Amino acid sequence: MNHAETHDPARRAGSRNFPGVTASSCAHAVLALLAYFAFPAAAPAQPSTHVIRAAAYVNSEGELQSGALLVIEDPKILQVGGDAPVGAPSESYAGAVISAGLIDIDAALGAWGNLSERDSALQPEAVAKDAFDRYHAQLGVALRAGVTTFALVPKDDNLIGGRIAICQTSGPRTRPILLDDAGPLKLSLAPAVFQPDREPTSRAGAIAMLRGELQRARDDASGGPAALAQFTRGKLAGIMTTPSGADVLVALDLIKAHGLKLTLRHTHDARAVAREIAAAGIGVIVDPYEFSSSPRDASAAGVFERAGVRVTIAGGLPGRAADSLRTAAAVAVRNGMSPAAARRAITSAPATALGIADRVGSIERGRLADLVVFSGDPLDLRSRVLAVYVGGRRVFVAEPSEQRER
Amino acid sequence: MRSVPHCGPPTDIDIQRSIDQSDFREPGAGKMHQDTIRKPRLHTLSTSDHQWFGLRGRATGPRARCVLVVAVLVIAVPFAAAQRGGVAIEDVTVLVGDGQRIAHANVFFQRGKIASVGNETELPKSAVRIAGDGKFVTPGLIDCWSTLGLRASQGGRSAWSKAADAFDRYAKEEIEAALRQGVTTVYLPARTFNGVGGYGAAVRLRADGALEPIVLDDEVVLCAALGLDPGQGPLGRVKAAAELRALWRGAVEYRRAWEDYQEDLEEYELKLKEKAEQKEDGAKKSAKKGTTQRAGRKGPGRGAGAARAAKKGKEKPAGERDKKRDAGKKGKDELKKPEPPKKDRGKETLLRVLDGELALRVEVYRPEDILNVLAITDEFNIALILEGASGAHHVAELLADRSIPVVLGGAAPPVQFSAGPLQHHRADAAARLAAAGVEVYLGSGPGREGASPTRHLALRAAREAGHGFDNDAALTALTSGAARLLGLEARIGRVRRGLSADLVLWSAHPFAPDARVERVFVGGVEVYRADDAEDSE
Repeated sequence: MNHAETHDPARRAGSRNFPGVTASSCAHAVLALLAYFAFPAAAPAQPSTHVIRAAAYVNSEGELQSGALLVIEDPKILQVGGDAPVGAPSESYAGAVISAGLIDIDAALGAWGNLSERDSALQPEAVAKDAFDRYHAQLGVALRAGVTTFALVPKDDNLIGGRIAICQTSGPRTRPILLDDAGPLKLSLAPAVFQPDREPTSRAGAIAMLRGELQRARDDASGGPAALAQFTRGKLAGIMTTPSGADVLVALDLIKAHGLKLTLRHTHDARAVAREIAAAGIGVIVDPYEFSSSPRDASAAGVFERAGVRVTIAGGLPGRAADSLRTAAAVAVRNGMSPAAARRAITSAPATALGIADRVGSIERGRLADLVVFSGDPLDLRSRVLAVYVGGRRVFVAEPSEQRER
Repeated sequence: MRSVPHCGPPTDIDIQRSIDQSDFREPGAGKMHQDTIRKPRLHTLSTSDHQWFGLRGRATGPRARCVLVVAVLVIAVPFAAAQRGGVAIEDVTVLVGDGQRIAHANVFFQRGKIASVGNETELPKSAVRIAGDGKFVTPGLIDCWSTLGLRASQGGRSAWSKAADAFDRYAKEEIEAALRQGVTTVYLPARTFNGVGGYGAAVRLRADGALEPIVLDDEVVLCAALGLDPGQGPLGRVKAAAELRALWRGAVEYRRAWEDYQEDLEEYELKLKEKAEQKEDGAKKSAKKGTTQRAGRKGPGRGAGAARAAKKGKEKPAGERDKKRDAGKKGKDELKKPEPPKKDRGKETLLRVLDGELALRVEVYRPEDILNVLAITDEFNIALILEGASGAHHVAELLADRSIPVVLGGAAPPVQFSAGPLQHHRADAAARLAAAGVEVYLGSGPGREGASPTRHLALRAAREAGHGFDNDAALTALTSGAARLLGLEARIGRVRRGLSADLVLWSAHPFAPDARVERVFVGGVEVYRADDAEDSE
């Protein structure tokens, strides 16, 4: 079963449809949906098992492992390696490398400019998914660059920004799905938090405000905002933007005081705080690198990696180029990060930080079959995206005639 | 003659010339011969030149010498011996820079120049040997569009200002960051929002601030821009284009004014002469006609004007009354010395472009602005290079027809729709332009915040390869292609005998994800070594 052959993603880039959605596949999906609702208990008559082969794949350690044979039973990976089941349809990509779908942990796809409420610096109940336009053409652009999952993250201008939504750029039923509509809590100590016309107006004020808010949520057994109560009890994960090393130390204090489950976004003072972060056993997110990134910033990923910290590289879509994740990872490698860690930093590491590592981010049995077929190493900027699978369905395939995306 | 880079490799004569010249500014100096306008320059404004001349004389003051000694100690100690016996990098894959690849080759360089490249050459015993172990050697990469060391990205609007003078040779961190990624030479524009910004420069990189002749050419092209002002609407851009056109008109008129002046002056001189002759010997008519002196010319006039002036002079009745030629009592004179037009350095700079001595390099980001620029350069027959040029794929055929090179920057187009200039930006612009037959060059260009120094140039080119640009073409664009664009192909840009030993030793192909720059040489001097850098961190 293969819907992908007739797709023309280029022509659909600007349409409301998602790339890789043809009339026929829509019809299939509708039928499937009808069938699903009509006979919810019935197992699929024909398990949609198929096989994808390539020269290599990126394993869960981020290493390139040669000889890729993936058995997919939509929407999941059934088997990695071994023998292909007899009679299962197979797609082969000679010389190609299969990676888990890339994950952008700092995106605003379909919600650009709508993720920031400036009314108050405390927005624990704001939910990023409410701003999400799932039909936006940007999602297709990201998808064709190999980004299958992204986090809609409230911006840095609120101390407590609200709940992160975790979305896919496409879905098994032709439209993107939310993997988690109320994901981790977003916090920020960035200078954007300090505003002249509302509290807090300074860094000291911001930190005092945050401390007070967390303490109140902890003391208050029932009345406070649910998200904050969970967060202060370490039951809800969070991502906190900490631009300076001093901010990192504040965050580490809070983690120690409340047992928070926090991933820190920090780049600039990596050398100064890497050891402390490693000791706290938490992960970090580094800024989306560009070719113009300074050596100091670009080497942060490698510094954290050598200190034993789990590193995620942010992508910043749609404010950056579609392939910004790969560009950033390539820049990180040029500045001392190991290739394996760089491959993890745009797949499994963000999945872990977002709490969805059991579903996406690596090529392992039982994970969703969100896969990208590259013409070579995903870190090699010469490589192109040949095909993208979401939930086992091929939702994009590059046209061999054109040899490149439009 | 247009100074647009010619295609094809330089001749052996070119190369031989470059071997012979110890003077790295030779082409710039060559330009001065034909250029009487530039006389007032005399290097008073140019610190780089000043320093360079100081060094060339070898009669440098004790302070300069001290700096030099320190620099040599710091940078060149491991290779002090090498300066005499030469250095050989053995058993490497040489990416020559023009698409050629030589496997298992030895690269030997001595006294700043590449002495031999190949797998059969014998190496002198005295040479310092570096084991290449199958690694890669490329020419030092050339960023043909950088803003490195230029603190101010918005240059003045005087046509004669020089980017070379604004280059901060002590921007150590930025220079090191470029060297660390294998870039040894950068082109620096004299940037402006609209109109003409000044002369672009080609500068080689040394992180030690040494007073070396680092400015390869301080007058590579004349820089201009159209439509960069973010607050400028469409009609504002139309106005800017009209102003740009008016600049060239003004230059043409300026030349005409000088030609007229020249004519009048010659007429005047002729009359003076005639009068003198009449006074001395009224009976004898001069038999020597048409020997008007032309040596005293000062303006940018042309031969035709002088000939006409001579003719005009003959037609005038010669029998006028005697005049006092006393300069102090001019008031009574009927014969007036013509007033020269006001000197305008900016217009004289523009005339150099109109004469084909320099190309005009225009930073532009919209196809309609490109068309406006084309209309101007067509009208005045100006050699054009486009910079930035997002949306150039819309007018690719026009550019290919006119052989107009395009330099693309490294900033990638964001996914987010933009109504600004970025809307014409395409990730695969290089591939599209090349397919249409346009000469494409790849530079860093300005970054998101306006100015972005040269970093990760090899990755930037690899990315183009990922978007359909030919692999070899991408590397050529950073080496011999860039050298050709800058008019430096006889000196840098390839790993070939006789060229400057600007070399990079890479652990793998420069576009490979795990490639690492291990050593960088500029003019045979090691300016970066990976291990040292890590130790110092």
